[in-house]
Amino acid sequence: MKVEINGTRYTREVDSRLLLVYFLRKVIGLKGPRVGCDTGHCGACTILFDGKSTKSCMLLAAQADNSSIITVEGLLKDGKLSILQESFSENHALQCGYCTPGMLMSAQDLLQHNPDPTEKEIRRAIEGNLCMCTGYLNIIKAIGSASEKLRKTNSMW
Amino acid sequence: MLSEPEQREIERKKWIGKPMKRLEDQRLITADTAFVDDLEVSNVLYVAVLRSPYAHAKLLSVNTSKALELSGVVAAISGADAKAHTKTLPAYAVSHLKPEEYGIAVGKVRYVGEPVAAVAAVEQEIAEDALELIEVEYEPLTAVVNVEEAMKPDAPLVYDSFGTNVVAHHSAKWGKVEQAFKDADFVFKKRVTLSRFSSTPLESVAIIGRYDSFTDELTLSCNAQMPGHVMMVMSEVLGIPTHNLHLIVNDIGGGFGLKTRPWKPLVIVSLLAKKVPNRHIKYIEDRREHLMASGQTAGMVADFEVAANKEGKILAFRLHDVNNDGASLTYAGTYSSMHATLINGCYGIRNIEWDSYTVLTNTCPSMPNRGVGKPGIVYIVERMVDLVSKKLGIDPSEVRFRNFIQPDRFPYVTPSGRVYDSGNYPEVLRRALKISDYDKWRRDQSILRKQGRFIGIGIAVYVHGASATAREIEGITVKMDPKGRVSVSSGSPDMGTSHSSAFSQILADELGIQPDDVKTLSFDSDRSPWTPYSGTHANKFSGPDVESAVRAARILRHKMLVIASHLLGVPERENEIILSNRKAFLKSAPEKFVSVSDIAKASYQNPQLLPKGIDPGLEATAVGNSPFAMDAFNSSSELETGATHQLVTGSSSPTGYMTYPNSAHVVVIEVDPETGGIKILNYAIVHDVGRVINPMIVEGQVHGGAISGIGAALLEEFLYGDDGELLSSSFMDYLKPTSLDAPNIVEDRIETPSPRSSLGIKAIGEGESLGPLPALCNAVEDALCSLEIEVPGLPMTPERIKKLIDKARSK
Repeated sequence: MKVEINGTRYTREVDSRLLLVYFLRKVIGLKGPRVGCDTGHCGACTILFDGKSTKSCMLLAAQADNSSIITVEGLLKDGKLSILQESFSENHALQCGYCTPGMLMSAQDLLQHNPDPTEKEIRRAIEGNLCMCTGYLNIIKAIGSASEKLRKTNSMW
Repeated sequence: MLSEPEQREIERKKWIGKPMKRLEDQRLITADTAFVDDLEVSNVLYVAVLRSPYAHAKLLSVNTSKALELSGVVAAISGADAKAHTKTLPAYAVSHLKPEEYGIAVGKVRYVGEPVAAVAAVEQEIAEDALELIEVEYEPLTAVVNVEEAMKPDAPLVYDSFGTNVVAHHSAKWGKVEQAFKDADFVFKKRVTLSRFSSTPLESVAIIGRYDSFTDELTLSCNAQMPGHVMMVMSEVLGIPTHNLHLIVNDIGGGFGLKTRPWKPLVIVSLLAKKVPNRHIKYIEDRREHLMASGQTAGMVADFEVAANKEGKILAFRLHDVNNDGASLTYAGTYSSMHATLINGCYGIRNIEWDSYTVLTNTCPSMPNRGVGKPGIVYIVERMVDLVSKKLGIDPSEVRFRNFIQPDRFPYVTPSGRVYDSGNYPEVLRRALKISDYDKWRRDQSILRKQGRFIGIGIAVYVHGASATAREIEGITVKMDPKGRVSVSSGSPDMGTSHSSAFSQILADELGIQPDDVKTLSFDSDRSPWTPYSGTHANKFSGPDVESAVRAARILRHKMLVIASHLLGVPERENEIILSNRKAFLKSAPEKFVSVSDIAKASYQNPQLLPKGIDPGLEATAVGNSPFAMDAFNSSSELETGATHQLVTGSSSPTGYMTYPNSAHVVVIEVDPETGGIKILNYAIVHDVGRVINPMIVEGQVHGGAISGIGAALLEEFLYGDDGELLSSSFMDYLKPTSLDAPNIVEDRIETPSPRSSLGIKAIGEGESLGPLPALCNAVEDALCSLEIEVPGLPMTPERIKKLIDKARSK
């Protein structure tokens, strides 16, 4: 299969049973997409798949042939954090950090399509990302704060 | 002389109390992480575990030979290996029964999901396929799933050799209970129940083990939240000297207690590692395995009788509680025994009779979960106070005001011999009523009720014991290197609990440096100053960990001040020197200073110039607890007497906690009578956690705790079928709160510093997860009071509430 991940093109042979999340972790060596459940509920595996937030545990690697994927590692630019990521830290929107890459990707998807989301829209956007530590309130605040900053600049960083 | 502005500047530069951005975040938001599954290891064999499909059965035979024939399978083990090479798993709280449980089932299986065999293979898929080739013969037995059934004399026994399923029994009588019941104007009775639930950390248990046959050393990389306990137990169970056991703990994706005792996975990985030396053996528990077999809270059925006078003052109560600890002695007993520690809550109730049982059933073993037994007793007491309020028609906040321990009564010795350090419960509740707009909601409630809407307001006010127990010591090493940078090494790991940031702020203030100058090292048993109690649990960080860090830091501080006084040419005047912002200077002459790196240089590179009595180097290790705890151990005090009740069987209940933070929750809800759904309209929390190191971190814990409590109150339940099958074994059925379920929280806090901690801090970790359970129950009963509905237990799912409503309406 041929796939573009965070701007780099890869050509790999994959077992037909291999889930996309395991392809990203084990074959490509990324740490962002994670496994937190076995039924597609927790969202720790969330990536951008052809621009849309997608649970990578719900796809086979083979289904990613000819697609373009962004993971949390792709949010960095020359080692600089995106405004969204900075906002997570400023607003204490993470504790153990396990759900954070998935949250960031769902938030990224939201802000790419809706630059001025309401609180309700933010809550809906991350509805599929479980967090056991933060209670969500600071995450919602961080995404709102990031959207404000992003509306003032033209850049993600 | 320092001017006013200069003095203010120094105060302003202090770090404790500041909402500093966390130092941990940079790594975590870029996924530059070291969770066990992130670790890059070569030559890996992947583990799959075969688990019992029966809740209760004789295990007649396990044959792994066909599995071993599958290409790619390198090793397979079963109970025979566990029995031959390991010891039985220890019981934490029950001392009178001989544990029979091994890391892999031997002779019998006692819960669905109990490990029966395991394989290691070159690929995960091959390991999973190999499980299907293992032949197991079971003889199913009748399972006992319900505590009341389990207590019957003819019940199937979870452990035949015990002769009973009741493995612990506490019985206590404090004060003059009979007289109080005679004097009372009213006696009310109620039963309340708690189902089994869990904080379900998003990352499950994960281990990489490697046995080095050349050095005879077993290395385990594990997301264990209590590494000290793991070292003590695993060295014993595996029969390995501690210096041949190398435990490494890096990032942990949440713990909440569930990762304190992963004995079975550790035994499995260790046995396979020994069987296939010099290869990395990797086991990542999946979600179903975690929910089914890793651990759950104990279920609870509690019956109480409360005696009150007509003013609503509670004179006495009798409590009978039965706790379902599942199928193992690993942790059984602690949920029950902990009830004694907070038995009277915030109230001056002196006459209490308590009878508490720990019962085993053929269900998932109990494990600590955020607060352990504290949620149970807080739930009982707050439901009790509410019952009095409801029956007497006195406002629930008023009943609490009439029963509170008053602020001038501290230190307060409770009937069970615990000593509450400080607090102001009336003020906490007053503030909660204010920020929740209580009076306005009561007025709105009566208007909305006339419109046929079911609005309810619920209150919970409680203490939560904190900083673990007095005997839980911790080891912390603080080292300033030759260039003035500081590292902290602790026996306890971070698991989202922000230790790095907290240590940075504390040490910045103690040593006059910046938080960025401080690096907290991860746990490594070869170099971390671990003790048997080392671990992150039970609000322990704010107690022994912080105390030891402060003590070690102050040893360094003293040295730095003496060295600075010599460098500044003012020997003997170290008491007049200020350490701030990486500089040291005389209070009276701030313009003449030396830098912290000058001090470090003098200490390490010019030892010949050091004053007498000051050794070279700037490194100190402190092992201990708060000075209060250490004093308590040196003299006989109420802390040492521990439980003042008669223990029938089991083991004595935890000794006193060090500090007692407290909280008030006020929640407003609306019940939809057609669906039974509960909507939270307003949630207010006021807490007192003593002095606060980082208010942003505390606020995060308040949110996280509260939402996890809301999950337990409204959504989460481990439901078992009559045959012991876990019906909610995935997130499809075991529902966790999402971003749609988290209400905005209105918060406030007061700080009554603890006289028992050097910095005056208490703790927050468990805190707000306790309040929602009784507060929401009280609110729902308030909402449905016109139908006279009593909520029997949690969770209050829409189905259950709807059933209660329909039943009440049909009358």
